[in-house]
Amino acid sequence: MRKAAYFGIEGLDRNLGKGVSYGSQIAVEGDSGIGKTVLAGEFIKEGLRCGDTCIYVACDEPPVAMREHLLSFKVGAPAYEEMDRLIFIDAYEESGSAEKYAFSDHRHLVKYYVLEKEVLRCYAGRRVRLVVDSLSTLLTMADTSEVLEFHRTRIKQLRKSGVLAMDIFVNGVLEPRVMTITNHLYNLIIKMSFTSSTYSSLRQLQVGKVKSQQFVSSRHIFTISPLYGIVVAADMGVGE
Amino acid sequence: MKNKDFLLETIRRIYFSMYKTVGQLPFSGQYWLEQFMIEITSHLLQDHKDDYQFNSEEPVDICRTFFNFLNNVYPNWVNNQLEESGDNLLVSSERDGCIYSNFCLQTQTEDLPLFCIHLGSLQAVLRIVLDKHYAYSVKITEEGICQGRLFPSTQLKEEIVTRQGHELKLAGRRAILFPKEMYASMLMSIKNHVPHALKHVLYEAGYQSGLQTIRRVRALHADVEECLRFLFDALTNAGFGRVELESLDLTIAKARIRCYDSFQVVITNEYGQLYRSPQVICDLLRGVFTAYLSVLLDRDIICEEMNCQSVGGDYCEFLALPSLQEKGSEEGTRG
Repeated sequence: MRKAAYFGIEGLDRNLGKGVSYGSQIAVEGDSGIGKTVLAGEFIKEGLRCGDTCIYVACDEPPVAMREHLLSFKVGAPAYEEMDRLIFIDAYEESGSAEKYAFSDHRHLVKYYVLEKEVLRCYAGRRVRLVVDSLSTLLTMADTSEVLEFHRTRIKQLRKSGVLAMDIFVNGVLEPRVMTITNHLYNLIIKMSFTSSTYSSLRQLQVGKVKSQQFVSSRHIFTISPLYGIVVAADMGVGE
Repeated sequence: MKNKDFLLETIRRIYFSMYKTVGQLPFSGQYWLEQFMIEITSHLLQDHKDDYQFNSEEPVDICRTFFNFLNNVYPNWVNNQLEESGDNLLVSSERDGCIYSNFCLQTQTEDLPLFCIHLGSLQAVLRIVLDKHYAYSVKITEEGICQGRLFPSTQLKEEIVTRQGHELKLAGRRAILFPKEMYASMLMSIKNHVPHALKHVLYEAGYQSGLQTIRRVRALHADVEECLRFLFDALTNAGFGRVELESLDLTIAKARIRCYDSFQVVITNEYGQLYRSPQVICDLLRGVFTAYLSVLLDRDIICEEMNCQSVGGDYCEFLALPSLQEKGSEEGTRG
């Protein structure tokens, strides 16, 4: 049941060694437009190929954006949705969502927690990947103590259920202090950012975890290919 | 046994042995038997060219002339009735009176598909004289009457492999056969050089080659399901695996396809995993099916492999649906 999972991005997976175990939580932090949703798409594509059930919580765009994103990489969401292997929770539309699962009351985090728990209960016994894109959007209206309480309770529950979760955070939405505390709860942290070289702006990701208050990580340059998705430097023939 | 009976029995035996042998050949044995019939008939016509004359280009007249010629050479060789019905030629006879009835009975005893030597020879003579392809169907009534029908053939002989000098041809086009080691080496090379491209390359290769095939074949089949089954038989005969159409719903453009013993799975099992995690691997076939169905159903279809023999399934299963579906307002859970 608890086999190791990967992202489906060779240059990144190579650095994960034995992979990430189910029941782990991954935090993805990054600037706007850096490719967090593309990374989420890679994670879902890999999960679907591996037989996992993937749940995508769409907060920043409607679910159709992810369906189209997957299709642009020749992944047909309808077949997986038909087999109940790809589930969307619409947390974007304020009302009138056509999705089976929808969440619009962003003022009450507890309601989201209950909905997420209920959806996960439907898929108990399966290998599940959960992506919340972005969790920071869901948390904007909550105060700090509520955010921290929500995090602790939710992550404990996800770990217990063996769910492999990816929470996405947009840089600058939550207070740095909240992010620092929150990061301690995740098994793996991926920070994505633009970095300037002499001639151009590059994308880089740092993969690691918080150890003794320090973020210990490895750095990788990556690009986003319209054909292949995220390609990490080693895959492009550039030294790591 | 008289000399004549001995010779006849020998001819039947030769036909039966050929029929049984070609059935075991890859690339559609029945088509090879058609080739044999053309060669035999061609030699017969050439050797006896002074004993008959084709005065008409009507198929029914050509067939009658051929039967008359055979009966002149060997009395009562043929006792078939011939008549026209549109483009079709209807041929009937009593099986007990047929010179090849022993052959026919033996094919039934050994559970081989029905093959009629008389109809095969008519198919050959029409090909030789008119240069037209005819197919035939035959059934035997409870009263022992053979009822055959010859009709202009629309099916391409897609999978027949021939050799012309040092060139191998598949359906008339240059082809190569290479061992699985070479295919596996190609895959492993892609994996080593551009690992992120592997599944995309396989899917795209399948899709593009599937498009070329379906565009050639589409016009020959009015019926979508018939066309799909024809294409799947061709894939099976070419060694991709046993491909079967499990279900097809034209109203919602949904198809479920199974492939037993996919060659891709065999290669992965023997030469190593293509990916880090155990996962579905038949992207080449997925691309082929996507192309077939998108053209046949005249809309954007995308096919996904939902289960694969490489991860413990009994077969590889593919599900094809329109690429983007309208979401209805579903009854569901709201938070």
